[in-house]
Amino acid sequence: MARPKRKIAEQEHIDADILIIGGGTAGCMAAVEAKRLNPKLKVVIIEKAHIDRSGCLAGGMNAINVYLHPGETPESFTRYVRWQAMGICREDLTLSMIKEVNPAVKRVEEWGLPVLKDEKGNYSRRGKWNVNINGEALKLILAEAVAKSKIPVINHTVATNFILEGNRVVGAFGFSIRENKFYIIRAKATIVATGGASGIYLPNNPGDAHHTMWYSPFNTGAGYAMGIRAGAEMTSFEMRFIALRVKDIIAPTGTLALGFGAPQVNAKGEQYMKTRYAHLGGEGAPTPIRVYAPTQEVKEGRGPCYLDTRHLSPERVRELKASYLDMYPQMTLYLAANRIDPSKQPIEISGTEPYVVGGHCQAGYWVNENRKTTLGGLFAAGDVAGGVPYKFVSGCWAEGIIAARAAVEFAGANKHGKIGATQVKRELERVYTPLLGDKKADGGLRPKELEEKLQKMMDEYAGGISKFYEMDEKRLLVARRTLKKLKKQAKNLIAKNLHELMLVHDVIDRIDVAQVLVEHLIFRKETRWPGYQTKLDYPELDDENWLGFVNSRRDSKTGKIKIFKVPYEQVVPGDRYKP
Amino acid sequence: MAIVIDKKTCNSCGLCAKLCPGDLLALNPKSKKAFIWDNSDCWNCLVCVKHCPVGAITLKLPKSIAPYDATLTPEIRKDKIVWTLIDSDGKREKFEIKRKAVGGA
Repeated sequence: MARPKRKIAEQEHIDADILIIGGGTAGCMAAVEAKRLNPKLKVVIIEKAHIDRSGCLAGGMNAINVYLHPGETPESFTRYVRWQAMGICREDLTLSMIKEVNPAVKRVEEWGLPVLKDEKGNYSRRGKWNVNINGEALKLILAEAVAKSKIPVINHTVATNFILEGNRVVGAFGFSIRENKFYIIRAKATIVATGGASGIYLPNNPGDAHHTMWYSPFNTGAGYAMGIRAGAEMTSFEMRFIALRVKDIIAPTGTLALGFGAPQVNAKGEQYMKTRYAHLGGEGAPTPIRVYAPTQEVKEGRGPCYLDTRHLSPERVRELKASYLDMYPQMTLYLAANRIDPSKQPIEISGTEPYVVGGHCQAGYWVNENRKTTLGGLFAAGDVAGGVPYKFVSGCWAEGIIAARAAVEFAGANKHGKIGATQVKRELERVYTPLLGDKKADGGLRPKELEEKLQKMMDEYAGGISKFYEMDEKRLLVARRTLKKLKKQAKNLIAKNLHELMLVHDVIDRIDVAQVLVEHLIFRKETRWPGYQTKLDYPELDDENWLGFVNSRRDSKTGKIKIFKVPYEQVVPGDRYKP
Repeated sequence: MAIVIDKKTCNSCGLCAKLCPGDLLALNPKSKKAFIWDNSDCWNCLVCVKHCPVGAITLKLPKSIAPYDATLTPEIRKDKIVWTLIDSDGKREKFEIKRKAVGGA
């Protein structure tokens, strides 16, 4: 089929000292910090949606989940994270992150975030590391801080690839989803902060409810994909994140379990965490176990499983509903629209689709303590950065601060790179070829069709929900082969308009992420994280051979993914399997 | 079903199209009224509902996960957000929650 001619996009050239890709939790904080350190620098944010309400924080937050309360230390936190992550995390990164967390929370409180206090004026605790907040407007607060720092934000613009000069990132390309405009942004230093990836696997709900999910369905792994294509070293993709959530509405359960003391029960009323998983910590077992356990209960015929809320008084139920309004208001609506009274009826739970996300698990760029990636001039912060599996909102702020410091220093010591004309031409072609203009696209491969194919295949062959998250090498090899085919098919993708062009690049990025993920899943021949990474052919944890990180690098010329082990470095003494 | 836009009430301000985190909303070039590209892509995050200055947008959860009609209406006031929840039996509850006075958008 001959492709009709389309209008050539207008090219907009921008020069920045520091470019920040993604105006979310980490990106906003990084931008403000960079500007604070050196007000003379030109800091620019490129943002896929609108900075006021984009990304994971769109709906708000009701708690800060990483905070050092009195009596805790960076070391005690690192021990906790290491145990949570089944004995493996980047201890150096965890330590450097946690040291920045409390000042970051303080700063956001000064920007106007209502933080709840106890009678003595201390932050109100919810669990060991958590602070209660009224965070409905959290994203607006961060965006306001960016605006007050006079940082230009290029909204509604999708970053597509890094601009490279040899092994150094000298900026990034992007396209507007509002006008026919292609951005060529040159930067002395770049911070990638795009978030993680949902939508790699078949989600919990079909059809009209396919985006009724917890992690932002608009976080499509762009930052990972850009790094993968540029040959950056990535780590720990095999540690997928499967969240324990309220079934169907996929609402967070921390509010129920930590905030309202609801234990897990199966259909027989047994509190299985306390019995079958006592040796791993019972109700307080590591996060992977808390989702592995109910999955096993269902698989072995003792489901459905619930969080038992029947001890709650009517007043507490009201508090519970209010609590969700600050973060996930659709949960409060869900209860009302299903006639569920949590004081009479327990709340059914399930695992989510597997996400790739560095803020809850540790998939992401391999970085050093300054959050510098293996590419020159490129720093990573937040969900897209690897190694720290217990980051959440305040940890993303901390990483934004650390990355900003390093980027400011790098931008001060380096000049702008050169941008080759061939590189621009190639990227223009790659970005806009699928765009055919309205009404001319019938008959081609639409992004949703390829997305569904990818998700179904990953579900079946790479351990999705329908397979109780279990996988084996034979099926993973099928996934590897199929992804190669999907990558070829992606060349036939077409878009009717700029919104759909974004969806085209979303699915292209997701396939690149899925390829690296499958290689990581094949490579680690043990079961390190039950549930997150259950290998039926290697069911045991094997410290002798697999205590360490699985890292990878895609050759940007041949496209071949090189995968290798990196040894573990223990910094904080003690038993790695104890908190 | 995800959001329902009352075309009569919509004042064509475009705030919903500006703020939707998934770029799912736009203004119809002819009628200038807001529409959603694909209702099934909605994340149910309520951002458009909260920011609509004329209350033209309502969130309806997909029927496959929430079969009965219930409504949740946010109203941003200066330093708080007021939520009205009406469950499927018509029972009404109000919640007032502290919030920084930040307009946004």
